[in-house]
Amino acid sequence: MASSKQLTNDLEYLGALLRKSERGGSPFMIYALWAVLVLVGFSMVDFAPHRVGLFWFIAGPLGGVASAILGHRYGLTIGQLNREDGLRHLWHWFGIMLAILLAVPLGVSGAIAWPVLSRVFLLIVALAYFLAGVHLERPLKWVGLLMMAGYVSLFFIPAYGWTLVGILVSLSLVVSGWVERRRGGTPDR
Amino acid sequence: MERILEHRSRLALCVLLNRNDCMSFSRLKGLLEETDGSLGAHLLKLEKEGYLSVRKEFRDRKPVTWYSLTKRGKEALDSHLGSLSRLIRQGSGGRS
Repeated sequence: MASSKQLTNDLEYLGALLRKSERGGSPFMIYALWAVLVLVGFSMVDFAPHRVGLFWFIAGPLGGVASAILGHRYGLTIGQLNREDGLRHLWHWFGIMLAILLAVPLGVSGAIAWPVLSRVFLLIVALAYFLAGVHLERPLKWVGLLMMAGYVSLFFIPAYGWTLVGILVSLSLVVSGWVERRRGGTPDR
Repeated sequence: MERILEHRSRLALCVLLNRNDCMSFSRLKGLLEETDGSLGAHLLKLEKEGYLSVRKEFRDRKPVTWYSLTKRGKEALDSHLGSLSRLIRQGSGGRS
């Protein structure tokens, strides 16, 4: 019978194997998709503020559906399917979208001015990314922190602050996606 | 303890498949770093024991074999891991 030391080694091996199987959880295309949406959506606050709401009302859910499809396709490509993980992602982002949707009446009713509410939305999304990084995919933690820094910077940047924040967040998403792709060691399709 | 799961690779296969709904042969091979023959032999043993179910399909005109853990396989794995934990605790307790 195996010694307890050998058994401990075996269990450590299993732990390492499980961690290895969880690397590269999302494909680069999902990060790239949201990098584009963030770049466009954030810039619109500076250049077409009256269209921002409509943009996110359409792009948000559509981006979510596209992400789910891309995630599933990626699972098929790499040969690993985990419905529970997928549902966890879905509930996380759905919860954030719902929170934002429920806050919209504050702007519509005039209770909070739209420029202020937009910053509150940024803070909510920043928290969402940060928590996603803690519970779902590690790189998103840094994207969340960058968004929080972006929120603070908006109080000091006199013009085109949203565009600048959008560019930086977009770049961080691309870099995060690239890092995840390298960690996963499998190519995107 | 389940004798068939005393082999590290077979135990690893069951642990991975317990964590995921299903995994392909090539994914398992990449993670365990086994040869085709060796991995195939382990998977066949587990399948014959009723621990795995197998599904074959074509994807991009290439054959893909998917494996998932059966209910019997989950129960065997739980039982085996429980036994391992008890053994380790006994081993640690004996030394103190």
